[in-house]
Amino acid sequence: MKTTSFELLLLVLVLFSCKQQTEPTKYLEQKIPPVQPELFAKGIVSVDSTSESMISVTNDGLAVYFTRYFKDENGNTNGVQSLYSRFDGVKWTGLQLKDKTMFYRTPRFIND
Amino acid sequence: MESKGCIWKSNKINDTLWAKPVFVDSLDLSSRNGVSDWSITADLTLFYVQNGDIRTARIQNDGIVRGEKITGLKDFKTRHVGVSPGGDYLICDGFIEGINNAWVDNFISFRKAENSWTYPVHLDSTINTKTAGNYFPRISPNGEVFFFSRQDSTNRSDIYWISTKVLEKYKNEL
Repeated sequence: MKTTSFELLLLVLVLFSCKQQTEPTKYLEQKIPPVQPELFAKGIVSVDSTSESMISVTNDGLAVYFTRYFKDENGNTNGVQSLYSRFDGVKWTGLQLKDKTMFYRTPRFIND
Repeated sequence: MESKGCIWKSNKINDTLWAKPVFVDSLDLSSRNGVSDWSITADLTLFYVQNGDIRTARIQNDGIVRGEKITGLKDFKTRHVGVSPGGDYLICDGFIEGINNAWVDNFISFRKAENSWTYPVHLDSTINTKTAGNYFPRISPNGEVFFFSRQDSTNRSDIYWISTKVLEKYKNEL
């Protein structure tokens, strides 16, 4: 059976579509580094101008909590934010301030 | 979760809603009580660091059953502990003269028996870099990710992550 260029293009598009669906949604769309540690979510969580630490994630990897420290020119901390982002079923939300009436400190999660 | 040192529990209702927190116990997990960090296993065993030592406590329906300092770590002191969801290993940060790279580093210890653990082993240079402090270990509750913080000479810290599969070799070397 002869395969036309159109059919080949269609096959490529279908394969590409399948690949898109298997891309990670967990951990802010990041793929877990298998061998060498990497910055987590560079440009989202880990940014050049601030310090980050105290991370906590949910069991399904669809919510991330962490603490961001703002430092002055001498390296002293002059501000702290407790932030989180979660996958809303379609996309990851932008970073939001944690509700301190609900979570005094970074929560720890077990099975969702 | 904790509130002003005490422990509270909240059940997840759906993706955006958590139930009103329920008080669990007055065990003070704050610095007022000398506690610098804590982690929890899937069976609700708390591992917390108090004055440099790792202690355990078990959350049950009617509160907490306080455990004891874990044994096997000898004189090793830590500030942060990340325990695996199965409670079979933990990562803690600390300093051993002659082993560390002049900064605080991450170490791994495995459970031998109920409350007995192996002496901490220094993680290799892929984790513990020579030019930065490597600390604040965390294992994701599903057990697949090892997170830690790395702080450089300018006092800036970032969050790093790697698959927990890299930790398996340490168990094989026991």
